[in-house]
Amino acid sequence: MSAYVKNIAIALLLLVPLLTGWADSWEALKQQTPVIKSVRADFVQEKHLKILSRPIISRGVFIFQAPGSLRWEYFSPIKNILLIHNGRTKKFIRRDGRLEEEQGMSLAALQIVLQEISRWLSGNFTENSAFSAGLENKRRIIFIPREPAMARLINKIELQLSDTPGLIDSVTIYEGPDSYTRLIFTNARLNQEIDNSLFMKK
Amino acid sequence: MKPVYCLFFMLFLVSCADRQAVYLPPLAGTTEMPDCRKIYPQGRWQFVHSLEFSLADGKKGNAVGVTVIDDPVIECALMTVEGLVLFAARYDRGLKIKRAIPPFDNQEFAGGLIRDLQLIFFPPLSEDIQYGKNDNGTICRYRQSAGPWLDIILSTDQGWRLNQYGPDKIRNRSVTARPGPVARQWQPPEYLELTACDAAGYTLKMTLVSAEKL
Repeated sequence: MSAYVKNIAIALLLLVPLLTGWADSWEALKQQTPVIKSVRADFVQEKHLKILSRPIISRGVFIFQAPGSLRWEYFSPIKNILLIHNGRTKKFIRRDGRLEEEQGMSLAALQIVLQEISRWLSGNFTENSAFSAGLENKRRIIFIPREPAMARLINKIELQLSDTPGLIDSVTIYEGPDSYTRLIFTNARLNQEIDNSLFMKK
Repeated sequence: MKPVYCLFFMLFLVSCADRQAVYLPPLAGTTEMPDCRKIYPQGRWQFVHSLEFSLADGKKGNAVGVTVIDDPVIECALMTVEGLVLFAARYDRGLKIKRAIPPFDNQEFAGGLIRDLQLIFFPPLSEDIQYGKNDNGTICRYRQSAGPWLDIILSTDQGWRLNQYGPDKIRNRSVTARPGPVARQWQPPEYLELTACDAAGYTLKMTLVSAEKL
C-alpha cells in the first residue's frame, strides 16, 4: 500500500509540469497540456505526526521519462530506490550497509497508478477512478478518495502549483488529523536528455 | 496485503517452540554493584529509528519507527519509508490504538510491540536484584514478579545487553545496544538489535535516526 501512496504522489507530480499557464478549468488544462518527454527534480519529504516535535525530513530525487520510466530515490535518512522501466518495477533498500532488492513487492497498486499516469499525461485529471479532483483557484488541485476503503488510508491529496507555469511547489497527502506527508520539489528540469540506465540500475 | 508488512506483523506472533532453548545461566559472584539503570533514558524522549527486520527463514523488511516515551507512557508509530503510517498507538497503563492498517489491526501485535518497547526503554520495576559478572561484563539480574528474569549486562565499551527469561528460565528476548558518542549526559544507543528467542529467531535492527529530549 505504501507504494500506492508514493506513486500517487509521483504521478501527481508528473502531471503538474504539463500544466502551463494554469488555466481555470479542466477543459482548459487539458487543452494546454504540452508534450512532456522527461522531468527531473529534487524533493524534500516532511512527515508530520502529532506525536513528533518536528517533522521527519527525507531528501531525494525523482526522474521521469516518457512513456513510463521512473526513478524515485531517497538519499536520507534511509537510502531507498524505486525503479520502473519497460513495465518492470524494482525496489532497493539499504540493509546492513548495502542496497538490496526488496523481494515480494506487491505491484498491483503500481500498475493501477501507471495506468492513471497515461491519463494525466493527456491532461485528464478527472478520470481517476480512485479520486475525484477539484480545482481550487488556479494553483491548487484537491483529490478526494471516492471509496471509503481508500479514505481510511488517505483523507485528501493536495497539489500546490508553483507561480511558474509548468512547475509544482508541493504535494501533501493527508492520512488523518494526526498525520500528513508533504513533498516539496525544487530544481525541476523538464525535457532534458536522461540516460536510460538510471531507470535500470540502483 | 503487502508481503513486507506481513513479515513485520509476524515478528510479534512467531512461536519460539522450535528453537534451541537458552537457559538462565548461574551468576558468578562479584563484589561490584553496578548501576544498571543508567542505561535507561530519564524523562520524556522522542526517538526515530530506521528498522530492519528478518525472520528465521531469511525474509526481510524495512520500516521507520517513531517512539515517544515518558515512563510509563509510550506513544509509537510505525510507518513506511515513504511516510505512510501503518500503526500508531498510545500506552498509558492501557493501550489505545489510534491507527492500524491491516494486518496491524490486531491487539496481539500491538501488545507485543508495546512489550518490546518497554523492555528496551523502561527499567525493570523489580527491587529483587542480584549482581554477577561474566566474560562480557557485569550483570544485574532482576527477578520480576511472576517469574521472568531480566539480566542487564554492562560491557566495558559502554554498550549493554538485555537478556529476558520467562518463568521456565528460557530466554525469550535479548537486546544488544551499541553506544553512541561519549557524552556527559545520557545518550541513546546508536544501534539496537532485538532478537526473539535466540540467534536463529527473528531480529529487529534499530538504527537511530534522531533522538530528542522533550
